[in-house]
This record gives sequence, C-alpha cells and structure tokens, in this order.
Amino acid sequence: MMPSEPAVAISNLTKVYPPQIGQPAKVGLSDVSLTVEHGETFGLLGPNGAGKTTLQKTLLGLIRPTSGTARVLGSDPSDTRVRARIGYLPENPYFYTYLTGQEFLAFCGGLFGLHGKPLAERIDQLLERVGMTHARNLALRKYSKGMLQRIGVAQALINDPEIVMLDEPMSGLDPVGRKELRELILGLKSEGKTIFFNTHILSDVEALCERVGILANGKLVAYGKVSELAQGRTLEDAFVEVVGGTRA
Amino acid sequence: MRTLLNLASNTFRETIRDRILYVLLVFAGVMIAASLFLGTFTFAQERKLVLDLGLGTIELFGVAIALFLGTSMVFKEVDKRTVYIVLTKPVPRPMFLVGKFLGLCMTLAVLLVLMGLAFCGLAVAKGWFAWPLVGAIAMIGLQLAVIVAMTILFSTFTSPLLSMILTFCLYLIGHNTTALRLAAKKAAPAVGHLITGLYYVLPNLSTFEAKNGAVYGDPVSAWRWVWALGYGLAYTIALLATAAAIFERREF
Repeated sequence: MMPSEPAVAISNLTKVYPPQIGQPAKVGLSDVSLTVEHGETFGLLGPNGAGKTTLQKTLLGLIRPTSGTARVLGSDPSDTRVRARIGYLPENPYFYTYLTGQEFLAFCGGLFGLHGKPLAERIDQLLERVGMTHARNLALRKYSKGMLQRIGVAQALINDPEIVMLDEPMSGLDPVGRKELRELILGLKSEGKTIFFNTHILSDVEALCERVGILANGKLVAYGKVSELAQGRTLEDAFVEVVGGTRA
Repeated sequence: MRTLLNLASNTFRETIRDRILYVLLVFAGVMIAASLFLGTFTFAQERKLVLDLGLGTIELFGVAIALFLGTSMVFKEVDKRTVYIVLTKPVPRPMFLVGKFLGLCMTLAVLLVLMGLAFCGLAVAKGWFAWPLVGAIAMIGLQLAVIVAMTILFSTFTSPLLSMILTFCLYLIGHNTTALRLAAKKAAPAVGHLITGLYYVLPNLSTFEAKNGAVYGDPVSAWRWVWALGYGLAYTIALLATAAAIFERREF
C-alpha cells in the first residue's frame, strides 16, 4: 500500500536567521513549497549560498523553520522515529578521525539500535558496496577526501533508509568515484528508495533525477521535471537563465 | 539504553585515544612519586605530607583532565560538524549529552583507578595504607562527576577556553562556599539575600572533601556518604537538564 502523504512535503517554508552583531537578519529560505514523492529521485540545484543545505537541514531537524512546515515521511523531522527511516550524508563530511572505517560504521549502526551479527553483516555489505573493504581497519584520519565521501555514503545507508538525503555527494570524488556513486544512486533508485540530493553538477541531475528544484537567494525559482525546465535547451542553459535572472 | 551506551563508549574511545590524557597521567605519576621524595625533607610529618600530596595530586589531575577533555567535547562536535552525523539519527539531543557525560566519567573512573592504585601501592609499601584513603579517592570521583557535568553545561553554549575558566571558577568557589555564607551575614540585607541565594545555587564541592580526614585514618561516615551521593546526583542531574534545555534550542 502506498502511503498517502508524499515522502517530503514542504509548505511555505521560511527561515530567517536572527541578526548578529554588526550584521542584519539573513533570509535563508523564503516561502519555499515543494513535494517529493515516494521512490522519486529529486535534485535540488542552486548556486552557493542559495539555501540548499539550509533546506535539507530543516528536513533533518537540525534547523527549525521560522514559518511554514517541513514534513518527512508524514511526520515532523524532530520526531526521532522518522529519523530512524532517513539516511543522510552531509556536505564535506568530517567524521570521528580516531575511529577506523569499520568502527565508525558500527557506531552509526548502533545509533539505530543495530548490533551483533546483523550489524556486522550490514557493515561488510556496505563496505563492499562503496568499495572500501580494503580500508576497513584504517583510521579515518588517514582517509583521503574521496574515501571519506565513500564511507559517508555507507553510513547514510547503514539503516537501510526509506529516504536518502545527500548534500553535494559528488564533492571530492574523482571521475571514477563519481561514476561509481552515480551507479550506486541508480541502484538505490531501483530498490525504490526516495532520494533527495543537493548538487551543483547538472549532468548528475540530468542522469539521475525525475524532477528538480532550483533555489536562488532562498527562493524556489524553478520546480518541475527536467525536460519541462530545459524546454529543448540544455539544463545548464536553463539553469543559468533562471539563476542569472535573480542576481542583481 | 543501547544507543546511550554506544554514545558513551564512543566518547570513552575518543578521550582514551587523546594524547593529552597520557601526558597528564605521566605528570600525575611523577607527582605522586615526587611526594615521597619531598616527604624526606620533613621532620616527623613525612606520612602526612606524602599522603596529602598524593591525594591532592589525584584530585588536581582529575580536575585538569575533566577540564581539558570536558570543555571541548560538545564544542568540537559542533565545530567539526560530527554532530550532524549523530543528531540526524534517532538520537534525542539530551541523550547525546548524557552519552558524552557518561563517556568522560568512564574515562575518569579508569584514570582514578590507575592513579589510586599507584598511590595506594606507595602507601602499602610505606606501611601507611588505611581504607579511608580509598574512600577519599571515591569522593574525588563523585566530585569529578559534578565537574564533568559543569563542563558539559558550559560547552553547550560557549568556547572551550571560556568553559574552562567558568568551570575552574566554580571549582574554586565550590570549595569555599562557607566564605559566601559568612559574607552574606556581614553584607547589607539586600546583598546578603543575593549572596545567600548564590550559596544555595552554586555547587558546594566541600561536600566531597574527605582527604584531610583520610590522612589521619578517619573514615567517611555512612550519613556523609548518603548525603554526598544524593547531593552529587541531584546537582549533576540539574546541570545536565540545564545543558539539555540549552542544547535543544540550538540550531546547527
């Protein structure tokens, strides 16, 4: 049976950061509304500082909206039961450097209540899937940026989540790593996972997403199917036109 | 419960793999050994001096380790953004703080046992051992739990340096609260009420003071144990509850 509510439902979401000393209040998000359906791969595009990470953090309960609502899998993200069904990879992830790859995944699995043989099997499976079996006993401080990104993807999948949120997942990966991660995302898609990812890389969006949203200065300036937004142009041309129009 | 233990054991692992811990531990060992040497300079007071210095060293280094590790713990998680990994999982924020608290307490318990073994070994070798010395070390442990809770509270809203200064000030005041009571009696009524209020709110760490008696072989009474345990527990819970209330409001 298909759940009645969308996987992600954002309605009139606004986030205003209070003024800091010497700085005025800053609008992070302004009246953003969008939905992501179950099993859909949704890409959120936008230039640096557009509000992509703020939006994702709101969906994870790290940031509270000033007004409007953000619901994930039918619930408020502050509900820990919902977070048990989400996997998240932050942008430029920094993990506990004193742990080895395996210890880190065991720690993350433990936070979902996983333990014993099922956890050990899940770790083996994920290390294999992200190509990090060889580095399982290496301390994370010795990992390269690309290796950290891979172990980050593995921790995002440790709970076999229904929805996977990835913030700039391709960052730090070489072309081979990017291709492998793209294949991994396609694999998750074929398993019926909902994927919500932030990216700069338009070719990834074209290859992976059914629908996209474009954020600029905290506003959702475009939203729909890739083909609808491109309208016969390349997605890059459409993006530059939409985002360029919002710049002073 | 399993999640809490997972968080605590990760903090334990983090602190136990921190080099500063071993530097401080070596210093503590040297100080305990040095107290033996210093004792030879006294006349008829060698036993008291060595035991005083030994217990003082254990408390001092326990406090130093709690300050160095505790004040940076939450700050580091936020600064290095590892907090994103934990708080986006089904972990309530108060549990995250309690896990940090328990993890550091586990580390301090191990260190107290190590320093205590070195100290008691020395006391046995000199023929000065008495069980009240162990009681005094356990009281230091209770005091350290309260200090760790203080560091957790401060580190939820300020920098490690300021947390360290604030905690150290509370540690000093906490051992001199009777001075506050005397000051309240001498001050003008309005100020006196304020100081009396502070007397009740600030931690009374002299509750955990058992070193002086232990040196003379005086055991801690059962009533004092109950009071110290109850007070330590209540104060620690109050500190952690305040820390949790602040941490719940934070955005990352």
